[in-house]
Amino acid sequence: MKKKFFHNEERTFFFTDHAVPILFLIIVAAGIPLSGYSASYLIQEMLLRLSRDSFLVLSLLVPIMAGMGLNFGIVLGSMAGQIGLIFITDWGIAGIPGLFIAAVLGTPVAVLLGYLCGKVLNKARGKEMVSSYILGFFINGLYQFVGLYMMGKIIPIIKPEILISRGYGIRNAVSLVGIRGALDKFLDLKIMGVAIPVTTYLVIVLFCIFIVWIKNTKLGQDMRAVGQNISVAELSGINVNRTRTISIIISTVLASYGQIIFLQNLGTMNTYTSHEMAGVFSIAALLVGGATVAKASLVNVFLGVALFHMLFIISPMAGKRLIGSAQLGEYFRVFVSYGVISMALVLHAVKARAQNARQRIQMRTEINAEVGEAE
Amino acid sequence: MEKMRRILLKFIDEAGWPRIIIGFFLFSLFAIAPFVGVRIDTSLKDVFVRVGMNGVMVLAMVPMIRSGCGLNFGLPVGVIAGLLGALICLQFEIVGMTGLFTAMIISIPFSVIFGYFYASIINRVKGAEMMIATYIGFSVVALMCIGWMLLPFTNPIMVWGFSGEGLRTTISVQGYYQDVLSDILSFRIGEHFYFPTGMFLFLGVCCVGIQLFFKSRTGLAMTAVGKNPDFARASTVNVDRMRTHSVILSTALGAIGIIMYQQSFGFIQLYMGPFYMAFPAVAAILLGGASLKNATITHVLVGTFLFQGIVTMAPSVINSMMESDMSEIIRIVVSNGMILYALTRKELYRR
Amino acid sequence: MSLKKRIFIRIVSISLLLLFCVFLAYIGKQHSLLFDNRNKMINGSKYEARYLYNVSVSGSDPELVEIGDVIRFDVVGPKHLVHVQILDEYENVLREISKPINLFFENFHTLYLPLLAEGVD
Repeated sequence: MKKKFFHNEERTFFFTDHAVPILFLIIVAAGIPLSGYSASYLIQEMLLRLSRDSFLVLSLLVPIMAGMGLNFGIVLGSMAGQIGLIFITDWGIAGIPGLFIAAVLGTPVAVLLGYLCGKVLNKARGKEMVSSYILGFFINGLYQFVGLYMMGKIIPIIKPEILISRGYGIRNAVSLVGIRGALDKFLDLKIMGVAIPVTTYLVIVLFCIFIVWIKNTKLGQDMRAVGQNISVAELSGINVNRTRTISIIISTVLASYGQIIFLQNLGTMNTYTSHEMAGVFSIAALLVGGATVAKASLVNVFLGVALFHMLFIISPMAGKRLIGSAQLGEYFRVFVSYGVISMALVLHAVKARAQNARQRIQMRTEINAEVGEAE
Repeated sequence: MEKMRRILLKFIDEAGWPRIIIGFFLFSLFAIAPFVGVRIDTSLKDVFVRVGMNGVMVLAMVPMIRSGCGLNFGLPVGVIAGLLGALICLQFEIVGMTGLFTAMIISIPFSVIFGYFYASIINRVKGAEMMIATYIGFSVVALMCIGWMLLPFTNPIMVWGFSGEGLRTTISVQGYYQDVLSDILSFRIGEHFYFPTGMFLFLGVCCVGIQLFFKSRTGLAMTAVGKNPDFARASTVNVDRMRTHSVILSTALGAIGIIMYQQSFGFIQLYMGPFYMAFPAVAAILLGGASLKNATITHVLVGTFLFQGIVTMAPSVINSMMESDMSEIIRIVVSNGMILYALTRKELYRR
Repeated sequence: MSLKKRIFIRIVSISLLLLFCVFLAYIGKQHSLLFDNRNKMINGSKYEARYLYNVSVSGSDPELVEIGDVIRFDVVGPKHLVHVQILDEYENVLREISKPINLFFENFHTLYLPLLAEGVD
């Protein structure tokens, strides 16, 4: 009796479960012919953006596994990575050595920030997403303070070119020409006129394997236990707070590497704004790929980045051709991005409550049945 | 002596360290000001004007907090309603006080409609309201960006000159209702001090109105829903309907609030202007002592004063001392720091 | 694993990592190579800038350095081959010198062409 009931319900859930990527797919599919871009251009752009942006999105997976929702705190990791890049630019270290050293420099900063983030999120149980969102803004303020007032004054900077004319404080835009394309071009293939940054993809694959490997370690199992049910995990002797903090630290460190990869592709760093969008865009991309606040997989990552950035590419042109204004296309894209996040969050919350309600009903019927049998 | 210590500790406990630290900080800023060349009367004027400007938007936080919907990060929804009211008033060239109140009155139906839809989503996501409210606010602002470009307004001060396509990003309200409210019964002392009595009277009226509302039956029901939803439901209060009312009320106050802001600021800000407008209001009410569950008029007034005080005084004093512009950073750190503090406090009653 | 052993391993790993980073910095450092063709006074001897030079670094296109000029080459990495053609006023090649250089962590390194022409340094 009970089995049949659930079977029917599960079937109708396919569309609601995957509403977001499906909807997005429809919008993008409609927009591509509108934009008038050629297939080869789109494929080239897509491969480029996948290599550039996927890593940041990957860093979101671990906290979701640990039940902490969408970690808006990856902005902290981005800032850490950027600090590393500022130093290697100042010290004049180019190419892959530069990237590696930037990563090494950024890692302790990222660990520290991740630890802080973890502590804050542990104190704000149940409101992790808002808290990480606000924390991102807060640390951004501190980052700006460090960048504008401490660099060059208290923190020695060698090259005056990267400082503001008054003598201290990092410039708004720092040229990363020394590492531009360092990772991408190290090994690249040209297939049919499309340049593929092989090394970058190798790095991405490496970290995908890393994430899968983590899932099977004791730490990973702990995280999943915490993610499923905090009370049960606690009873099983898992140090819940520590596990949650570690998941955030991992996420932050990965985000710092992701930001480095992102910036080496762009070649220029907007010191005070490059990291802001890391959080919002990565989370939007992940949600577009079909992830929810409670569950995310590698497929979600890559599908999401592809769809989300496809929309990015085609909106201006599509807007121009459809309504006559590229600006409108841009606004439409912003609206769709935020609307998608809203929708994904709403759907998740609704489903979670429905699930809780069903579980309660199920428990009640089970208890009633037992009581009935006992009588 | 012992009794004084206990009273002091109780005050600290209730007020919370951040408030005390910030209050102290603000006081010391005022103390230092004359020594660094910042006039106290100018500063006081700025602070008072800003308190009047922002007061109603901070007040808009109260209904939703009381009804248990959390902090209204979706304030931009109300702001958009107010913007529509203001634009329509400008379109029909209604000036002066009439214009101001017309704008407010026109924005009310918009607030009700928007608030209703906003509330229907909020009601379905109990427990995750704040995050979703933030993104609903963002989505609406982004959607209206498209709207501002397409809506058929024709008044030349509102639309771009040559192409006539789409509203301008900033529209001046000079000649319409700039300062009409502030100037009522206002007074000046000397050359530098100006007190916008009219704005404070209006703010006072709104505060009294809200206070009375919460003493009414609907208001009490709303508070009950926030404090203990199950108990409220058992007392035959329709929880969802109360929450909807609170959202609509918050939205309407947000609409009125932005119009108040405009009449003092002098400009209507469209497109991405309203994007982040919720955050200062949230920070202000938290700074005033509100929590995620409880908010009173005192919190609104104290919080707005402290917040705007810091945001006004700290940059001007520090800029004079150090010759650099830290205003943005101070605002970011203080407002977000306050919100974080509120989010990470242990609540005595868990939902 | 005892605590001491763990700490020991961590310190060793971090030290290795740091050493590796130093090595990487050596490999990846950007340097500005300056070629100075002006009169130079060193240790009481005066070296006059008499010639023109064609300078090429690690296979780049040759750059002409006139008398009184200082030119800059931005390079990456420690080892480079500097190829200098000494020219007269009419840009005929008089002599060619190839000199390998090894750069460590300096941001700037200057080669004085008049000294080079006399076979010094």
